[in-house]
Amino acid sequence: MSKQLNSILNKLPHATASKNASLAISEAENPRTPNLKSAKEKMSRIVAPVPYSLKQELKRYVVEHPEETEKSLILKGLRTLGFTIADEYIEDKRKK
Amino acid sequence: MSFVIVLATSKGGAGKTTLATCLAAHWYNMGMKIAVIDADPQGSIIKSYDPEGPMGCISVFSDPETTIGNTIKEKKEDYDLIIVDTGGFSNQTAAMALVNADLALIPSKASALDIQRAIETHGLIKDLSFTPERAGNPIVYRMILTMTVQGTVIARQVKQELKEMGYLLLDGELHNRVVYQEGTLDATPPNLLEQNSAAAMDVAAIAREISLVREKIEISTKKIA
Repeated sequence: MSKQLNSILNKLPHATASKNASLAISEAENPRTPNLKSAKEKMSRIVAPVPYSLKQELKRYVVEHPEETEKSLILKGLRTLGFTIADEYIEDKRKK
Repeated sequence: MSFVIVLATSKGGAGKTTLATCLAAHWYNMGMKIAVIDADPQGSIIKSYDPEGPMGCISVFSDPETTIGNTIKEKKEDYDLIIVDTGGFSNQTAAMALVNADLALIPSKASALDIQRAIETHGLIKDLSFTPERAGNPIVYRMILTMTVQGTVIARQVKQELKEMGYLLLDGELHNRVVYQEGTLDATPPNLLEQNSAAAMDVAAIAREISLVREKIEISTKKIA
């Protein structure tokens, strides 16, 4: 495979999100599937530099959608790729 | 010589699967040997495929992985035409299928979000066209409007605007018809059995345009060779 094609592919998610895809589909079909990480799990941080325009876009989106936070949007995006993330981590507890 | 059509757009629900199966049914009725490869991880075609049912006359395979390129090459030896249906989001399998396409079809509804995604897919096709795998042979593509309501202005307007922006579109459209929804109930494209229906006429018109594009591609390939 050429470097160019490899570089394009690396920017795209796997169609099946590796082994997590079937899990993601089954979660979509049955959101109560008990496959979520424990609520008592230790928390960690991810810090990633992003383009300024993206950050502004996220801010605007959050203003227009008060039920969302930047964190919830990122976690939702990761969930669509097949990562297992419990709803309780996505909900913005500060707004309750 | 086998011909590979890949249906791709990063928007789900654009009509890729419906168009893929209807085109397969049309060309099967024309006497061609057709293979459909379901590269959509949701497996919409393969899950409902019954080799004993009406669709059994068409060979259906599934490969939602990046091995899709090899699967396409393998099937090219046995089939006149290969139609690849991809997932409704940008993904590696769709990209690999596009790299192996003779023609990419980008279905899109006449809505802003769908058009935006169709344009994104066009961007991906453009990037893939410059990879060494294509070896100076850019991917030929056509956009096609789906689920349009016949006789309304919106489809005509969207088509005109896209053309003015320089995108290539088929004139034919896959109109919104109840028979397509009915077809999902028994996993049979409506034009497979009803060859004189309005839906079959729509699909035939689209297929005619695709055949003309194919002729042009084959002529230019011969010239290069």
